[in-house]
Amino acid sequence: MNSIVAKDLVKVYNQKVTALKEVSITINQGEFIVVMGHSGSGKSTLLQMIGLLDLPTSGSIFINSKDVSKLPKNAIADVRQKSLGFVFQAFHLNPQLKAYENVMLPMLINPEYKNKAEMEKKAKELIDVVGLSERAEHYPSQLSGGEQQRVAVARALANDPDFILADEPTGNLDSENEVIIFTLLKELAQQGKGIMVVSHNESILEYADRVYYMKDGVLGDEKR
Amino acid sequence: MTIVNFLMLIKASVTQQKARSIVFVIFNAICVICILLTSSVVIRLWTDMDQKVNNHPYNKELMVDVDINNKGAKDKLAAMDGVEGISISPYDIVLTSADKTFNSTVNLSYLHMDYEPVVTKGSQLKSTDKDTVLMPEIYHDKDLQTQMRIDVDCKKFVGKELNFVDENGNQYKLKVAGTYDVTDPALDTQCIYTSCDQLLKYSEKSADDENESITYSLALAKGTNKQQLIDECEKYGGVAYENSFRIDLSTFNLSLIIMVIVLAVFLVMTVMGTSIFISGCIKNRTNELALYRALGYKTGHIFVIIFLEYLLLLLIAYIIALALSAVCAQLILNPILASMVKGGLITLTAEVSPVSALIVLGVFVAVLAAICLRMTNFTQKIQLAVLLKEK
Ligand SMILES: Nc1ncnc2c1ncn2[C@@H]1O[C@H](COP(=O)(O)OP(=O)(O)OP(=O)(O)O)[C@@H](O)[C@H]1O
Ligand SMILES: [Mg+2]
Repeated sequence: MNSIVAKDLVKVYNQKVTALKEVSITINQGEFIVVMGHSGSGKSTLLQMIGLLDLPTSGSIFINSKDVSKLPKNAIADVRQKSLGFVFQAFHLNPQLKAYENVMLPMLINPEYKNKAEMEKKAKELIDVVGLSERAEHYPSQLSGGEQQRVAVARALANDPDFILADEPTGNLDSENEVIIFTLLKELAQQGKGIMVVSHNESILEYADRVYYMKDGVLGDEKR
Repeated sequence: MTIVNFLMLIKASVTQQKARSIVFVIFNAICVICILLTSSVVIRLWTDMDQKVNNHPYNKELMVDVDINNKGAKDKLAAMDGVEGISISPYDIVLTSADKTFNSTVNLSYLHMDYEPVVTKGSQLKSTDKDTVLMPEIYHDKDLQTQMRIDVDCKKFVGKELNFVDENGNQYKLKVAGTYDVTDPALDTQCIYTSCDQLLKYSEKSADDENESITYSLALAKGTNKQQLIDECEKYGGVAYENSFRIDLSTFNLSLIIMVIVLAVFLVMTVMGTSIFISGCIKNRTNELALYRALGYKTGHIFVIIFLEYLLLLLIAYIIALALSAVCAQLILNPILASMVKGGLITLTAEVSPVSALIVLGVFVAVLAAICLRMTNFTQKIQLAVLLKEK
């Protein structure tokens, strides 16, 4: 089983703000992990480090036992493409692409897909997985916020990554859609994906396998 | 494979920024037209001018005055290095109109047979023609009483015969073959021209016995050092000098320099404009490009996405520009050029050659690639944390 292991992560912004203070965390495949905490506590910073979106000031990140935090830029991009999927609060869907085309985005650079038809087929399957079969041909502007976020989840699954990292995925959604997204992520964890969700939404707790509380850049003890 | 995949993204980006894309195409089309047309004029000036001026019979010629008693001089002159041919240069003859066509006197001179001036009416002189002349299109005559200038349109004499007398009373019946363009810098607008052989015959007839020297005209090989030959002629008792109708290359060099500067300005305009434009667009697309990077797109992928988009727009602009520049050249630029350098030495026309069109395309693509490379580097500096921000 694969895992992400973060060890002693420190992140100092502008040589002044210490957003992370020696944070260590492990995310295993099949687990639904939630990081909670007040605004400014460093949750998003932690997700950026683990997601290799930014480099820590010190500390290391092992993905499948390989230290990836010191790799060159393009190699890190490779790791992101193969092993990580992201879901953002702001969705970040391309407004000019149909739902299934947005799901195809990560596949375009994946050499495992031989042609566009193959990508299209896979993208539409993933649209099915998130329960939007009827909406595959719609543009983001024609979808509700919840539906857009489901498209984003399908996009995160495009290259079949082992881990999915989500920062406030329901921050822009109502409680009804919240349930849909959390249930979806929970199902994915049960199917073997390692899921880490950053949120300050209490209702996520019932889905979590493990919960961490962050305070001033320090990760508190895990709670179940 | 990947490149084809990216077409989807490019289409999305172009539709997203439709207005900007259209402006980009228009701007580039204008730049391509400007550069294509100026460079075609520059190339013309550069290659044609140099060749035509240096190969011009008057520029390849050296005149040598030799004492009439210096019998061996001709052979010695002919044997000099760089001399391709030698001929006796006849003297101009001053003629007076016998049929009162002109009030003032007219110079009868000779025309190099390998030089064909622009003929505005009638036909060129042929070496076989007898008693035939070319006249200026407009002759500046004078009213002898008031000294006022009278412009005589000589086109009406084409095909007709005019009667003249020289100072010794010899009669000349000259048939007008055609009229030449008076803007030709190699021709004297107050001269009528006949062939060299013809003028030789006339000057033998009209010569006064007082003549003490013969003038030879030396045809020089290309690239001969004239000054050296002038010195050498002196050793054989000849006084050598350049033909007074020699064309000065420096006036053309000046126009060449001006055109090169104009071209440089257009190039700078293109580079700056494209650069400012693309960097504006890319900064507008920060989130989109940050997302690509988060999804694992590498530097090369990002470059291809950016470059391909603007390359496609550039190609559209280029095709439009190619069509329009042909039209512009025909309808606007060539008439202007024609009125500026009317006839004479060269016919200067802006014509886009396939080679220069390809070179211009190459330059544009290279400039675009450099700018896109710079912008790709910029995208590598985007903090991916922007993706975590709320809308
Ligand atoms: N790029 C940055 N430059 C400087 N300081 C930063 C930067 N990003 C984050 N910080 C600081 O680091 C600390 C942690 O920020 P972070 O975004 O991780 O908090 P958060 O827990 O995600 O908050 P929220 O719940 O509001 O999203 C904050 O004090 C923030 O001001
Ligand atoms: Mg945050």
